[in-house]
Amino acid sequence: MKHFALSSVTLAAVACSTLLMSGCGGGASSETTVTIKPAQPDDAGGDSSAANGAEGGSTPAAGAGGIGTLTGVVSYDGSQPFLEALVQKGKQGVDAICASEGVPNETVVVTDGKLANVCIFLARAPRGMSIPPAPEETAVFDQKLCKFLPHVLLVRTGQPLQVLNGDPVVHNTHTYPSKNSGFNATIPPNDRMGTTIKYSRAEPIPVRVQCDIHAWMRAYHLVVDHPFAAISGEDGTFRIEGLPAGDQEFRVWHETAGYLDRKYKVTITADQETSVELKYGSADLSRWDGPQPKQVILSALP
Amino acid sequence: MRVRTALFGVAMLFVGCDVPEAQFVSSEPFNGLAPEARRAVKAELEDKFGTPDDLVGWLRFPINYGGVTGSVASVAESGPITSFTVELAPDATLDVQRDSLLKWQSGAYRDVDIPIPVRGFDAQSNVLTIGAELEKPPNVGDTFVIDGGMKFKHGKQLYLKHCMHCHGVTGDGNGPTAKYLNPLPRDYRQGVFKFTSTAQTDRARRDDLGRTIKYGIPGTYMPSFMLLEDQEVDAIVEYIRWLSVRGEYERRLVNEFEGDYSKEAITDRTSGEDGEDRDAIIAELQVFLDEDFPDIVEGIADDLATAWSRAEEEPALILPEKPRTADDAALASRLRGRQLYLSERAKCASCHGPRGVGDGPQTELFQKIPGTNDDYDKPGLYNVWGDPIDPRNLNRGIYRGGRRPIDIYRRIYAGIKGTPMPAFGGTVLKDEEIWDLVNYVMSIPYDGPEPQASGSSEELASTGAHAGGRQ
Repeated sequence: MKHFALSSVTLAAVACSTLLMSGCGGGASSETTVTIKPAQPDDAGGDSSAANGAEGGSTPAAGAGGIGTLTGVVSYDGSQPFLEALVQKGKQGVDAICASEGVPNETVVVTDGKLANVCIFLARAPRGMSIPPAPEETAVFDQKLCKFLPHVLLVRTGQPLQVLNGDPVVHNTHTYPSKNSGFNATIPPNDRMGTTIKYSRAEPIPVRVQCDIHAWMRAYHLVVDHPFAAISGEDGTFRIEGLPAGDQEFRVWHETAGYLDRKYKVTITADQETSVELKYGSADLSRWDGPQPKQVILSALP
Repeated sequence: MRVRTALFGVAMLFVGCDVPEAQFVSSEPFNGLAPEARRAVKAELEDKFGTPDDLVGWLRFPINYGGVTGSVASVAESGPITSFTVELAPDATLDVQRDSLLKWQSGAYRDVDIPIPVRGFDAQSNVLTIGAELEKPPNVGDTFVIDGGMKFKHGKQLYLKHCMHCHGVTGDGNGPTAKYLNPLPRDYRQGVFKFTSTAQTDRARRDDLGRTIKYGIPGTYMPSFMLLEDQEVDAIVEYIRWLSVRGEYERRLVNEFEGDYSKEAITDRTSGEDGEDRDAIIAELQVFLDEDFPDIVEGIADDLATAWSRAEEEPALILPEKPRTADDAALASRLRGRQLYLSERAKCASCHGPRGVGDGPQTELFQKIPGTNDDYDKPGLYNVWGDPIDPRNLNRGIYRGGRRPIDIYRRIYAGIKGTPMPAFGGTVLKDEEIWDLVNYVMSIPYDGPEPQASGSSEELASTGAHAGGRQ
């Protein structure tokens, strides 16, 4: 019969692990320091030398050189690409009103070589310029035949935006802004009074809007806090007035490309119309690959 | 052998028990910024929020860090000062502890780091006695805070003990346990919480977060923490609100830089025939930081402070204007509810399915990934955190946001934030109609999707079982 003797190594190991465990207090007891930071620093409001383009007027430094206008046209190299309708006319399984005329795919709209729905806007209001307040007239965002109207809407921060429903079915309008709180509510059928919302902050890129009930419905809101923005029409033209003279950098954006141009440079001449032509081709609209066939796994059961 | 043992023993003594320093993780979009931009954002975050072990409680936000604020009401003209009359913040009570400390927020002593011990406070005369001598009298109107940040510190410690392993140190829902969980723990950093009593566009209230902690979320891994004391739950709620504010602040900051100074943007801008010079872009970034950045962070702080304070106010809370319609034996309310469920106006069946199992047509359509034109790989609904989500199976009787009728009312009225469940109240459905739906929904687990009496109508009326009995 062997005696079980505690070897000296075992003893040492037991002693040491006790030592180890006694020292570990766990994360909750590590020393935490708290610094309370006052809401306003004591020297707030002292630095007025950095002229900021606050809404409602400050010393107009940027507008001192005069005001000009930018006009332009957006051309597309090619003809209207074939885009399969989002809902075919007469399709079964969708609301009757949506299938009555079918719903076309409006992501790329080319007419006579001109590209519509391109957003041209200044990333920020020009520094030191007094910005006129938001217009009081309401921007109207409607839905008819299961399609948003317009497809891309220009709206100012603080401007009332009326969301209407012109269909006999309920629509759920859901916006996805990055700086404002999103809107997600159902609009009753044939609601011509609608719900009025307002954006309080400018969004860096147009806000995506969709309907949670009719998944194909898609639109965009270009939300800016200044009047220097425009969306190209069906004829590809756009016009921006009241721009300070000098070098300006515009963002050019389209839903199938993201930024077509982050800094499109134009020199604005005072009291004149500066005319530009923006040219893009199918390679620029590279985020759009056309309708992809979907792989759907069918059940193996008969 | 003995030498080895001895050496082993000595080596053990030197093994420290260093608790690794907790760190906040940065979000994905942050990592996509250029290094110079990242540095600026990181510095700003550390300035306004600190690190988990060195917290900064910015009073700009409506977060209760604990402690009592006050200001000097009157003080002796000169000489060493050991007491003075104070005016505390409205409704504040000061309970001086053995280790209570006072820190000046403004005035001559503002930059003194060492806080002053507090000896006593006389609530009748409003005289505060301190345990140090101030050579120069403070000015009338100088503000201070006593025991500032205690609740904050307490909240953080409780959070690390109870919540961190699922929700992560940063509150990003990605703690060590998270990868084993479905549904995933909440990521606080969007400022979105699903089960609230506020309107669709408002933040969650303290009450809502407190209920979630106390009662848990049935059907998920979030347990009930009923055994915690009220003041512990309060401290955790404040810390979670702080984490949420920090997360949103980071997201908004990164948003400002993404357009021009992300890695992708700089590659874009420096490429091509008329590409810019990288140094010129960095110089432009510096100008942006000097001129535009201060106003931008003011705006962000303003927005967040307003949003979170607004949530606590009356207008944000959803209270039904009409009391709940009685769910009587004639089942009239439930039948109306069933009709609404299937109607074109509410279209509940489009997601929840005609039998309420959560298999409506929407679950078979491909949804678009936010911000892009691409569809998700799999058909079905997704939430705002990018995870697949199923419409609730109403037959199970498990209601994640609470099983009181008012909870279900609120889910229908304001929708569920962060999910495709939309808001119906105030626009599409009237109060009475929402109550009809509530009665119908609450009957489905017992009587199936088609309202029918499971017993005779006399039986239902006499027992009052779930028919008008629960208010």
